[in-house]
Amino acid sequence: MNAIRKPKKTVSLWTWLSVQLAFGGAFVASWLLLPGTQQQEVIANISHRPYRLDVVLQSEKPTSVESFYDDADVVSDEELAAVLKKILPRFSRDHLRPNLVEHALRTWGCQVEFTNPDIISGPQMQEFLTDMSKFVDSWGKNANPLMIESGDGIHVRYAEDRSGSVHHDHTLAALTEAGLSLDDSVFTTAREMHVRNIITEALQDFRLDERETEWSAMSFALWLAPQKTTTWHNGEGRRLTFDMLAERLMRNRKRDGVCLGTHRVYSLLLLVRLNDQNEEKLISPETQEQIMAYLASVRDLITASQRPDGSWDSHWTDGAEAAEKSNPDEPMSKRVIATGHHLEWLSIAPLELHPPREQIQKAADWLIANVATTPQDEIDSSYTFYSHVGKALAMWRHTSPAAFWTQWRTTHPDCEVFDTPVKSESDPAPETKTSH
Amino acid sequence: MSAVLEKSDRPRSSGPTPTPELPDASVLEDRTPEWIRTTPASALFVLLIGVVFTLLANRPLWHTDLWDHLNYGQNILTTHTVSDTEPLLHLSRGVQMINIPWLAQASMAAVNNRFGLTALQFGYAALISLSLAVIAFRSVRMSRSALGGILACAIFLKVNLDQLLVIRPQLVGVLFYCVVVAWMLGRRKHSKLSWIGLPLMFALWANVHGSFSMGLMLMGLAGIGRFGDVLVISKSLRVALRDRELHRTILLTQLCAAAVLLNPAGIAVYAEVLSFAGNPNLSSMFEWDALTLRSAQGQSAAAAALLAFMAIKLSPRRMRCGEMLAFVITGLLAAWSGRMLNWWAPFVGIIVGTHLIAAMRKTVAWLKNSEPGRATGLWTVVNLGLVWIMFAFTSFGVQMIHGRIPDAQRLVSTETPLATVTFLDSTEDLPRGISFIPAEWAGYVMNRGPATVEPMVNLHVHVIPEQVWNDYIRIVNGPSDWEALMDEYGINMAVIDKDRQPGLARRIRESSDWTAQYEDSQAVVFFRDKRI
Repeated sequence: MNAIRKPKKTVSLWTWLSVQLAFGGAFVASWLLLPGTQQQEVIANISHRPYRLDVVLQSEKPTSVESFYDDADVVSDEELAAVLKKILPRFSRDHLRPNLVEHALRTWGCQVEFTNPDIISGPQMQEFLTDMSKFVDSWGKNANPLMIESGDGIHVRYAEDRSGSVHHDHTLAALTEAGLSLDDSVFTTAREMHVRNIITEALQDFRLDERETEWSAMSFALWLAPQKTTTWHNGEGRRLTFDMLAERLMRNRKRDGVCLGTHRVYSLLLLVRLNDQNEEKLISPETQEQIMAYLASVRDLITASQRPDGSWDSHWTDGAEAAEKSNPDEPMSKRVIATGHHLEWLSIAPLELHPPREQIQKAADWLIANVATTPQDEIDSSYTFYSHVGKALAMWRHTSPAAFWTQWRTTHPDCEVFDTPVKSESDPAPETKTSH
Repeated sequence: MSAVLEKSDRPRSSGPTPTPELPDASVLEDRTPEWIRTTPASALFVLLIGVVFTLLANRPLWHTDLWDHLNYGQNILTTHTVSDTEPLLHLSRGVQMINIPWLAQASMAAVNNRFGLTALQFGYAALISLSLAVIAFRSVRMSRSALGGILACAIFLKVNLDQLLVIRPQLVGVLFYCVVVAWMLGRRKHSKLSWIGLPLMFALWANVHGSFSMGLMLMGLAGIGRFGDVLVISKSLRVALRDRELHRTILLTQLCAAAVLLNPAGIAVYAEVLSFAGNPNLSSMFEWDALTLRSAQGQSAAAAALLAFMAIKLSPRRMRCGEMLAFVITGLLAAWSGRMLNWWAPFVGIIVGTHLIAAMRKTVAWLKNSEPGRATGLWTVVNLGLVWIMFAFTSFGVQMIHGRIPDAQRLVSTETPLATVTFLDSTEDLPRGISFIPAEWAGYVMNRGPATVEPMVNLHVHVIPEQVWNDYIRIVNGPSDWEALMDEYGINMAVIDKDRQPGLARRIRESSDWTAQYEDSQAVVFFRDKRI
């Protein structure tokens, strides 16, 4: 009998199962074969969320870089005390600008206590920046808080208005230099978080090509160098290294950086010092060489451009041509910025990057004299610039403003007494990005 | 081919035969194998497509895209690695890169290294011609008319011309896509060839271009269409769900989707194609803009759409559900972005070719005879002859046969900055670091210019950091802060396209910090006097 073969009407279960197994198995295997970074990228792309941070913060506290020098010829105890007295953080609590507090905090640290209640102590400064109820007390209920919860991180508001920070990651840099720990609390308006949340957010939202990278580079290096983390991926999934950060800092004209191009010098030097402190694993030898060449050229420029009175002005990057290019009507604050910041980075620089010592002494003398002759209200209105002067001079005595002041106060109990009361919020000099 | 003269059955005449008779050709028996025989219509298509092929194979290579792909391909050949971060642009270091077309790039670079640019012209023309051949094949089969095939090819070419002018890996994608379209519109969807060939094709496709996703979408639509067709006819959901062809289409689609995973990035290619269109940098690329009637390709598309609607309306043919879905969905995609015309053009071509012929057949007498010409070995010989003639007329053919290579000016588009690169090559002490070079020229400069020149961007905009791309776009237009932006990137050399960037050229000329070092009718090259 010839059986007529009927055409199949359905696909057999066996075929279905085989194909489903092959199909599912292929996708599972493909997923498992992907490196972790690419898995994260896939998740980020599909979920339209930022790339998850691939750095686990381990160091409870950031590292620090200390000054190399204790040179009383640069600044004596009395001179240092006189300068520091003028930059004690005596701010009105009303509409207190974060930028002022950040500078005061990085200068004085979060531990310092003052006897005069008009002066804001370290813990108070820390509290103002990290507890948004205190911030709201100062700025009112309608103000936008400085710190805003952003998923697992904390976004610090900047470059918006006077109630925000001025530069990207400047708040983080201030908290880092002040020595806060990872688990210190940060109270957003929503919930309690921690300093680590600020760092993770900063690592994620950092973009290599943003205009100001000085504070980000500095903060990241101070937190990551001790744990030998040299590479990570930001929220876009871009792999970043400290080599790339260093190159970014050196990319454009020297004069174009923040504070007349001086902050990037400090950040670069910090990378070199942290590299030395951490078995030379932070940056590559080529990058180290490039940075040193860059810093050597800065040394040559400031050697050639110093004004006869010892100060540097905004034309320091012109080297020997600075004198003819200088604008005689340039505000004094520019010279304070340039001279104060240069002395600050020089305090952590090796001797090979120094101009002749007499030039450093002349610069310090000019700053000390300038602070002495400048009225307190002018210094208050340009506090951010002068805070660098105080910190720089203290570092030249291999100390910190807080340590020196605390010691100084034991022998000068009246040093925190002032003739004039704290002025209420009236800051005449609105700060901009360029004015720092 | 083998053809022999058979012996005549007629008896030999013993009488005188003053004029010998010629052999009777009608008694020749075609001994060529069946599979190699071709029809007269095929010769017509070989001729027509061959003309298109010859024209394209002698067309100067368009200057955008090509050189970037060659550069990435060369990098792959040199490093033997498909980098997972952008490997060429300094400002894109560390940016994740799923380089889907790596195989196409490496192949292009290898071909260029071995045979030169004429081979790339040849490959470019071959890909477009093969796409036309597939469209013609399916249209002729569906319309049972060579005219249908010609119409389909003409409409495909006209609608998609702007997309086809640029040599890039996408052309391979277009060819593969046309194959899927032909498969989808065909009747025998689940032959052995389909089960083996399609997954293999998708595995290859996922290594040459991201448009494999469009192919998978079509296969999905084929399944949905089949379900719809059965549902409409049977009016039974159960019958539609249990339909064997639906099940086989689903399984075949799954196999193809799994085959896509055979690429260096694995499953990540899916995330890449899904997120690609959302890249913010693409918003400044005009070819990704929505179609508009003000553009030539928008007008062509609108005319083709009208023609298609008219043909469908008049046609006695029933339009299948999948066909309609694909036509509408790819049409909407094309309206959303001009670049998507690639995926609509085959459909509109075939639909017009098929339905218009069907509509005309009711009234036009000579179309009523739909019998194809007899396939013979003779036509195969004709076709082979045509192919050889066409080949001989291409630049590559001339190079292969006569060893003559055309001048570079004839091989690349007039927009290619040949003279500028010659200047850069001959200049010692070129400024180091990032240079401002138009994205359209960057690939060529990197490929043929000095290795020390580092363009700010290239045309792989999706791997360029958003800030960098925005700054580049800003500089291109010559804003008042152009110099600050140049400073920001430490740019010491600017190559300006005089036609496209007149504002920027004027600004730099006015600056006392920059000096023109070279100028011709196309470009001007400035160096910064005091380098950063």
